[in-house]
Amino acid sequence: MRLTGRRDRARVRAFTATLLGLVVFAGVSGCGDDEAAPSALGAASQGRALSAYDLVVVASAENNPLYSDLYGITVDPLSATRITTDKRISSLDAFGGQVVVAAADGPTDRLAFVADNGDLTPIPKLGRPFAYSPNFRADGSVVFRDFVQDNDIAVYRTREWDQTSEQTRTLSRSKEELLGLQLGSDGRLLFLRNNETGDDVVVVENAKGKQRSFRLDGDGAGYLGWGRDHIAATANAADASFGEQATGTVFIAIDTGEQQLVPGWQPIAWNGDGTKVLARSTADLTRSELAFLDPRNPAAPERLGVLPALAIYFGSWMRGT
Amino acid sequence: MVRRVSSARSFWAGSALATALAVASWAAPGVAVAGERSETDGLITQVNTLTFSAKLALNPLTGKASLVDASKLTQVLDPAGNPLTPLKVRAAAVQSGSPIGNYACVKQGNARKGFVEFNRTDWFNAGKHGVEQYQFFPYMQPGARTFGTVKTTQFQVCGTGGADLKDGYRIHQAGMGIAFPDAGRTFKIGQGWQAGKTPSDTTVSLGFELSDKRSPLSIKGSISQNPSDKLKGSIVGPYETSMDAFARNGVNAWWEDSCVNGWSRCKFKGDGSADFQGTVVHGLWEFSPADARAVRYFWIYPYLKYACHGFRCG
Repeated sequence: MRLTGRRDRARVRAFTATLLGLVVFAGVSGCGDDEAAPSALGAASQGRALSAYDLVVVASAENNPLYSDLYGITVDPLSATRITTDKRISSLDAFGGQVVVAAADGPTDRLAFVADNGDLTPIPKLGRPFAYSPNFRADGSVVFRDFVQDNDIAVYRTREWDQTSEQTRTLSRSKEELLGLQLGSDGRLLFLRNNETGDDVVVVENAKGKQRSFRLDGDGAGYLGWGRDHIAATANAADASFGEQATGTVFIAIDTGEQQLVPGWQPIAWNGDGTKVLARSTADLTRSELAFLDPRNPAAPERLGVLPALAIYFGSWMRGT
Repeated sequence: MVRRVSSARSFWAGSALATALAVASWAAPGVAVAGERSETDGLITQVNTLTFSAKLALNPLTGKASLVDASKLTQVLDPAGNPLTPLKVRAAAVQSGSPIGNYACVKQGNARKGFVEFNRTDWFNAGKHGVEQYQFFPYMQPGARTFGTVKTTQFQVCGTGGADLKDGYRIHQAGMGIAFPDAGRTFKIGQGWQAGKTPSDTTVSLGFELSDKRSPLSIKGSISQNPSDKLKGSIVGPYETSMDAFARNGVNAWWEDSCVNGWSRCKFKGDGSADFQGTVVHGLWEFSPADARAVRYFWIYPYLKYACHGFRCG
C-alpha cells in the first residue's frame, strides 16, 4: 500500500521509532560481564507465572515515570522481564503470587490485579473508585487509599477490600492527605506527608490512629517502605523531578527514630524478610545498577549488576510464596 | 468537488456576462456552456497555506491565560502541493473580533479541590481572504494521580473554531493544533477529536474524571457548521509545520474537503467550501510536580489551506 498522506507518514515515523527502540533495547542485552540481559519486551505473553519473579517493579525503558509499566525481576541471575505494556502503573504490591496495581484509566488511577500475561483485571465488586497505593494483607485482602468529595471538601480514606466477601469497608477518613500508604505489622500504616514549602515527613500511624512523625531532610518523593527494624525512604535533591534527582536512601530506625543517609543509592524494595533494601545507583538514572543495602552496614553495598536502559522507580518483593 | 452549471440557467448567464467575466477573471477566457465544463470553469493555479503559531501562556496562580509571541506563516503552493514560494514567517498581532460561528468549550460537573479554569483566549484573524477564529479553553487539575508518593498535575486544553472565507475563496482544510513544547519526553495522556463525515453539530468531550460519581467533571467542546465533507484528527496537522517536532505531545483536528483525497485533488475552482467550517480538539497532558511547575505555555497553531479563484485574487 502506497503511503501518501501526512498522517500515513507520521504513522510510519512512529512505528519506525518504536521498532528502533525495541531493536536497541533487545540489542543491548548480554553486553558486558556484569550487565544482565533484560528479556524481550512482552515476554509476559509467554505466560511466566508472576510468582517466579523475586520482585515486581514499576519501571520505564524511556525513563518516563508517568509512562511506567510492570516488570518482573530475578536477582540471580539478574534479569528483567516486561509484564505490562502501556498501562501507566503508579503503585503496586505483591503477595502470594498475586500482584495488585494502581494503573491509569485515562486521567485517573484504578486498582486491578495483574495476570501472568500482563492483562489487568478489575478487583471483583470493588467498582471504579479513584484509588491508589494498594497493599495486600496476608489473607489476600487489599488495603488502599481513595478520596471522595463531600460538599466540595476532599476526604481521604483508607479502605479494605475483603477477598472472601468481596466487600469493601472504610477503615479511616481524614481531610489530611497522606501519600504512599504502606501496610506494616500489627496494623501499623506508613505514609508520607508532603510539605510543598518545606521538609516532607514520614508518618507512622498505629491501629488506633495515633501518629509518630519523622521529619526528612528535604523532599521524600519516591519509595517508602517497612523493613523489619527500619523504614526506608528516598532522599532527593531539592525541587526534584521524580525519577531524575534521587540522591540516596534514608534509613529510619523504627524504635529510636534515628536516621542515617546512604548517598548514591535510591531504595526500590525491601527484600522478603525486611533485612536488606534493593537499591539502584543514582549515578545514572537512565539505567539500573542494583545492589542490596544493609542498614546495619550501609557503607558496603552488595552489588548485583546492571539492567541497562531500564529506569526502576520502586517495587515490591514477591512475599508469601 | 466539481460544480456542474445547471443547464436551465447557464446558457443565459453565459450569454449576458461572458465578455465581462472573461476580462475580469484571471483564468483562461471562455464561455461556460450549459451542461459542459469549459476551459474557464477550470483549474486553479495555486493554493495558499496560512498558519499561525502562538504561545498559550498560562499562570496557574492567577488563572490567567494569554496568547503571546504570535507568528504568521504563509506559503503559495501549486495544486499538487509543491511550493511556488518560500515559507514566509512574520510576527503577527493578536487581533480581536466578533464571533464568526457557534462554538464553545464548556465545563460540566463538579471540579475537584485545586482545579483551575483559565480564562478563554481567542485567536482571530481577518484578511482579504476572510476570517478565522479559534477559541482555547485551558484547565489544570493538581493532584490528579498519585505516583508512589508523588501527586501529578494534569492540564487540558480544549480548542474550537474555524474559518469563513469571502466570495471567490474556498476552504480546502481548516483547523488547529495544540502542543506541549517538548520533543523528547511524552506528557500527553489523552486526546480527542471527531473524525468522519462532518455533522451539522459536533461535540467532543474529554474528562478530568473525579471520584464524585454524582457529577464527574468533563469538558465538552462543540461547534455548529455546514455538514459537508469530513472532519479529521491526528498528532500532526494536515501539512508540515514546525510543530511536527512536538508530535508526541500534540493534538490536531481539522475540517477537510473531500477533494483533498479525491480524484480532482482540489484543482478545480469549484472545489472546497464557501461556508464556515471548523472543528473541536482536546488534549490532556500530565506532569510530575517539578515538571508541572515548569509549565509556562502550550503552542497553538491554527491553519488554513485555501484557494482563490475570483477577481479578488492577486
